[in-house]
Amino acid sequence: MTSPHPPGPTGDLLLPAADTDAPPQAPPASLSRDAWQQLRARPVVWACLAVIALIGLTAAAPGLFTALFTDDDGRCELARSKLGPTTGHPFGYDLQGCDYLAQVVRGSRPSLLAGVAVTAGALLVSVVLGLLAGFYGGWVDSLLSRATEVAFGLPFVLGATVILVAFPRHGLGAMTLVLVALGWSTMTRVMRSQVIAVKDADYVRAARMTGARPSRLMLRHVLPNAVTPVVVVAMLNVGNVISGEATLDFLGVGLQYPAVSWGLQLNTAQSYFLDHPHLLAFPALFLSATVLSFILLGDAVRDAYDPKLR
Amino acid sequence: MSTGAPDPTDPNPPEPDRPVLRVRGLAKHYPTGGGPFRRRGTGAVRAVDGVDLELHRGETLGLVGESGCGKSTLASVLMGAERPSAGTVEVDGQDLFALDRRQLRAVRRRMQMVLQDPYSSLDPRMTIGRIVAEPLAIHPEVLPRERRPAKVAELLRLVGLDPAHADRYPHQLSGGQRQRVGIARALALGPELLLCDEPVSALDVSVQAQVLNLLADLRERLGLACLFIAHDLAVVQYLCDRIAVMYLGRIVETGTREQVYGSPYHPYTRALLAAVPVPDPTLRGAQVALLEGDLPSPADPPSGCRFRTRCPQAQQRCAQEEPALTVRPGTDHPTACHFPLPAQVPPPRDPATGKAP
Repeated sequence: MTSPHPPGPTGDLLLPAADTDAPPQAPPASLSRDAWQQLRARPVVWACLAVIALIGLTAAAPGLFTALFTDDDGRCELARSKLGPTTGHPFGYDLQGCDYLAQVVRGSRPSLLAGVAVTAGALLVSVVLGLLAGFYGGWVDSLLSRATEVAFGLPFVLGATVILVAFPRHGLGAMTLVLVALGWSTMTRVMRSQVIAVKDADYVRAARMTGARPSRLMLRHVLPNAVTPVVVVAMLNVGNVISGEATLDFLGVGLQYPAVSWGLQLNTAQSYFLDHPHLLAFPALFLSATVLSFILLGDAVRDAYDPKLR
Repeated sequence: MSTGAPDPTDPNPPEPDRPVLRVRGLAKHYPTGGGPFRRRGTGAVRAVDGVDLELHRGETLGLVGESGCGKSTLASVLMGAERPSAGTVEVDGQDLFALDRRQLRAVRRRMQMVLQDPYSSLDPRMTIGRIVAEPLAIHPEVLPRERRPAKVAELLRLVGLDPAHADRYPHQLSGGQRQRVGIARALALGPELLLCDEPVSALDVSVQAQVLNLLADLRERLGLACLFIAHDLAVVQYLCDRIAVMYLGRIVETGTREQVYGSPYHPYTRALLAAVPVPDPTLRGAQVALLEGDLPSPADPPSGCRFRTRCPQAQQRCAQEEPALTVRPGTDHPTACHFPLPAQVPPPRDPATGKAP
């Protein structure tokens, strides 16, 4: 059956000066969209996100977990010191006879706070310094690059140990500052090299020739196009910072006794773990799962964003 | 398209025949060597070495030359992106490099550039609308913010794009569409002078013609002065009123399109023209006098005439004396050659006589 109406003139004929080379009609493909597609298809990404969400929830609302999983009433009795898991107290008791599940759950907060705060601080420092060094070059770059190399030469845990031992009365805030001071160099280098690669791009030249000020060039053009790899490195860094913070606690130079953290629990457990393995096992399990999740997630994100690995 | 009335405080009141762009003795040398352990100033790459140009209102000047002759360096100096080593660039009588920052911003509104590669000249993270509006954001005094979207739509229509494209990203457009966006961006501030640095050489041949037609059309409608840099002689012939031929940082011949294409006097111009494919089957098999050898290094240019190392009729004098760009007896436009070729004589086609003694 034929249509009663002849095909009318299409709108195309009315368009002025349309290009004959076909514009790509496929759904818009961009690096971030591709990366998200690739990430979404990987089960390990979802597993890592689940673990991180769970740990994040324990850090945000530890009361929820103690209420759900133990009969803990918040009291510690030395008579129950180091007792193993029993019904109502699935993780057993710690050295002071407190419910161990409640202790382990509360230990997640300093670890996550340190991991996120240190990484965010280091990211901020490195983005600013890398942007300045890469964009301006010259003596600014020389100065910042030499400073970065000095910071890069300092060992992370040893450097932190030395500084924290020198200032014994410190809390999580001071530790965060020390770890930022020791951890910004790698990201700064990545940022600087990205900025150098982007700043001579034609679109930056075009804006410069139109009369754009350096602040506009840096914030509108260079930063959005240079920041992705640094963010990926930062994600990988969260796991390292968490394990570093736990290491410092374990060595006795990080958080001190009244505070609760996985590193401190592991420190306590080292003397008793042959007879009372649960003291070691539970904080170690939580710590490893958290660090591993951040590192695997960072790896996956890096793979997704690095076109060379595709 | 013109923005604002002429500035009453303009120190140089417009004279009737003042060129929009006047370049005098322009040179750009890039020092080589240097560094803390080497003596500074050991040498320099003379990318541009003494160029004079004039461009009048509504006129299109084509700048031709092979890769590496300094065309793009010249363009970036003209746009004020780099400081020249010597010489002056005057835009409407104002020396570009004697201005303070505020004056330079004002002059930049009057001259805009279309870049060569439409794929790298648009920020991949900005929408087309923001890219076209960016010059307006950089010069907020031109147009109040609330009127900018309408201006962007008008500009997109002007270059033959659908204003609905304003929400798209560059990677969603084809090469020709992107170059139209680049042209729209260059026109946003209503410039008097448009610098086009090989604006079609990165495009498909079929799209090249569309973009060239667009440029020719816009030039007519907006009365733009155009400096058109290209290595494609056919493109230049199509679009330009006057031609300047550049070789190794110098202008070697300049004249109107008819003069340069009709009777090229400089052996280099003639060789360039001879290298253009001629769509004439009867000439099949005819030998074409092509240039031999490569462009000499601009860090160590030949003495005397720079073209002598590749010139078929180079003589002793060419090595000793640098030819000036002047009108010589028997020629009707300036050439920088001691022995300009006689007019209307076909260039030597026999490769055996290609090299002079």
